[in-house]
Amino acid sequence: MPSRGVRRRARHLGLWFVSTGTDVNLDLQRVRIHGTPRASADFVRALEVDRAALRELGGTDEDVDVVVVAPEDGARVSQVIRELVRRDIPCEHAIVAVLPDDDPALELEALGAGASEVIPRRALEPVTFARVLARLRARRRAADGYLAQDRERRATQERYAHVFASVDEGFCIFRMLYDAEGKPVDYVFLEANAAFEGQTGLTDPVGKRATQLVPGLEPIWFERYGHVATTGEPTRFEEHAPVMGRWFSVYATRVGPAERREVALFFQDVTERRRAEQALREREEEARAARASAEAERSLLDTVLTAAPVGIIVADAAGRLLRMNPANERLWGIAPFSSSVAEYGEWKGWWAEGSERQGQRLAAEEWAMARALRGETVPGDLVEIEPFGMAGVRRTMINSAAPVRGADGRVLGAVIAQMDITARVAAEAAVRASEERFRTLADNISQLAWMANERGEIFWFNQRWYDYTGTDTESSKGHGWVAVLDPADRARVEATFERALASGEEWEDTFAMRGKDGRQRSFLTRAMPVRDERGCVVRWFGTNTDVEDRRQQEDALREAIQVRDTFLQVAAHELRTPLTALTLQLETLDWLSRRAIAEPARVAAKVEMAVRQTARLASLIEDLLDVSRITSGRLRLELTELDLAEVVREAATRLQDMAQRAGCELQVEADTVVGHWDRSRVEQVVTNLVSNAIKYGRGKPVEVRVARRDHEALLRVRDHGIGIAAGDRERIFDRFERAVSADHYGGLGLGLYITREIVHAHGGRILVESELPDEGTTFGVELPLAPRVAPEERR
Amino acid sequence: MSDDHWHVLVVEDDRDVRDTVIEALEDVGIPAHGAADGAEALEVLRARSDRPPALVLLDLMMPVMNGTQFRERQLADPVLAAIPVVLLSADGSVDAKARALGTAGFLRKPVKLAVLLETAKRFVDGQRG
Repeated sequence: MPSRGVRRRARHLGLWFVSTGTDVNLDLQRVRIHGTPRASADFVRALEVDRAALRELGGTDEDVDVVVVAPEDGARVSQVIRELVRRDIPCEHAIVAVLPDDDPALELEALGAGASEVIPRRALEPVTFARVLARLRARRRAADGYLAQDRERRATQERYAHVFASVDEGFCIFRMLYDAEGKPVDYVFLEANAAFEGQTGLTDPVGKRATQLVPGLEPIWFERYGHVATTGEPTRFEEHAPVMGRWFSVYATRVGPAERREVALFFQDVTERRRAEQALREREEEARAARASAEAERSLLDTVLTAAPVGIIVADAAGRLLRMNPANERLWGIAPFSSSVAEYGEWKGWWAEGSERQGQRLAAEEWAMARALRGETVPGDLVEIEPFGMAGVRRTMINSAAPVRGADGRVLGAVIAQMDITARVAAEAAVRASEERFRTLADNISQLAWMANERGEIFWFNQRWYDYTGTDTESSKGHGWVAVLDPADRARVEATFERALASGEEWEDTFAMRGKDGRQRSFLTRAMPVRDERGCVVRWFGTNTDVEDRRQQEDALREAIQVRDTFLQVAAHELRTPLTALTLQLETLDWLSRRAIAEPARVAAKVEMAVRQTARLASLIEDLLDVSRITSGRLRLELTELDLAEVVREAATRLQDMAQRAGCELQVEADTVVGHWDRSRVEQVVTNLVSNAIKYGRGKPVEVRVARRDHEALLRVRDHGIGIAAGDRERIFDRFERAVSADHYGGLGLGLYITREIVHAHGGRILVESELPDEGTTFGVELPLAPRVAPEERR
Repeated sequence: MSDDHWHVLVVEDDRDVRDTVIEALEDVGIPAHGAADGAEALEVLRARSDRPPALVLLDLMMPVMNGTQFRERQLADPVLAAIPVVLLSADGSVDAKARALGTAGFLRKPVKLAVLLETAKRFVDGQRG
């Protein structure tokens, strides 16, 4: 490193850096040698020679400062030069650097640091040295010619330098470096102002290469600057230097001679601005997106409002109506944009059915909107309205309203939604009325009625059902109703119902159901499926018609027909039997008379029998006529005073023959009992009872008793025959009835019926007692002595 | 009316009819006997099983044992089964019953004397012949 003294003297021609190898006296008169005193003997000798040569050339050596640098210090040359330049060595002094051989990089560095000439050491010969000195001197003389001008320029340069040093903008000059193919690959900084460091973050750039300062610097920079250096076209651009993490705004222009490829840069780190711009762009993008989003929201809201099937009105905090959608117009007609809650009074509305104050007009502040503006959320007011411009028209709607609140909870406005339910209300009313009519009808029909869902679960019964069964909804609903069925029927009924449910066909069945009195009655049950518009069964409607009476009537009718048929059969038999005997007797008489062999006794016997058969026929016919009289109410009594005992005795006499033929003994025990009766009818009663006793008496004695008890005559006829089963004792008095099979016992089966009717006609009664088996039967007749009721009125 | 020399048994509950029929048969020389019901008829036939009658005239509607019951028992008894039976009944469906009971014929009450006698003669002559 040269001392201060050396530097002060090395001011004329230049400063030499000479590498020496030996410790020699370096005070070579006017050639001042600086540096480490290790120049080689060769070099000293060379300098000796050179001094001589210098003199020969007519020069002085005062102008030369030489810095001798040891070969191993070569690497420090540029640093030393830079240090000298940075301090106070005037720039017009030439600096000649003698450098180790074959180190082009070091030469470049020395030049970059400010050396005027670089001489490889191998070329350092006296003559070379002298030649270089001569050249320097010549250059110096040329320079002196422009001294004044130069000074002026320097002043300008100094001013610029001052400006450049003081401006915030970065400034530098560099020389482009090229590779073997002439491609710009780097540059070396020659100059940089104070702001350079601040703008780039790079310190001490002068003398350093760009790639050294910024390893990995992008090739784009070399290309751009190379272009400027080559063409001389200034350029201005803004570029990102990713490796440096900075943005630069650059103005580049070539300076100095073209062949020096020197470029001056004015630049500024615009990273902050770029970032700010980026941030701004991002903010603008965000704002734009927000605007678009808001626009989309607004568009969506518009669409919703337009498409909404409910009338929607939006109001501000004061109640001023801001928006109404088309549905609102359909609901209300052309409605005014009321400007305050008070003006809501112009909207005509009444509380609808189902509201507490049904029928009363809504005051302005009662509208759901007004209440929402007061902070209330209105879930659903039922209101009837008259639309604007449609006097007399009424619509029913549900109004829901809610306040719109700001972030602070303040009510900013309110929204009301109004749904038109007029049609629904009307439909519901129609359904209610229809249901009411249906229930009235269903409760008043004579049938039990019910409805079941599609699975056959009954959910409704009419009142008749409850009245008849005495059950309640809880116990009957679903499948509970089967409890009223006869357990024996249940499985069958459920099966037929299930079949109907499965097939969807009408259900019809007849079965008994238990009433609340515990008695079973027979019901004809029919159920029809009710289908929806798609044909699916949605419910079943069923009825149970009480057919018990009909069933009983049918049974009775069947029985009556059976009885009638039997009777006809019996009647035919009964009529044919005497007719058989009569016919045979008469034909025999005819036969006998033709042959004239008739013996009077035989003829008399046959005629007698014929007469008897005719009487039998007459009696049968009389019985039939009696039945006809009785059923048509034409049984007339002719009351006369008579003795019942006498009637009984006469009848016994008449029946003696029959009794004998039957092998019965008739035992009559009769006290005189006089009363008012119809003689022939009383005879008929006695005859019927006694002949019955003979007929069924199995040849055993028949007892007949007549006695008086208070105001009644008592007649008892007792046999010891086959008896009558207890269950038959009432039946035997019915028409065409008998206790025994018609196959075994003849007779029309009318006797006891006629007998009872006659007894009743006299205001009396007839009783039967029997002890089975074979204990016989006792008939008892009680006849009032004077019938109380006019006989004509009796049937 | 002979007690044991007869060819026709008249089973009839109505005494007038029974007597009339027997009398009519005997007037033409066909000895006949009467029974008041099926049970009595079986009794009589079994008592005389060595000399079966030529014909049984059988009423249907009778007490104790009716005609149908008699016929069933008769057919069940090998000794009596072959005795010809002709129904004599007022029953409206006597023809059907005759077929059902497998009788030799039927007569409907009231029966013509000629038809009755002709029928009886046919069986009596058939037995004799």
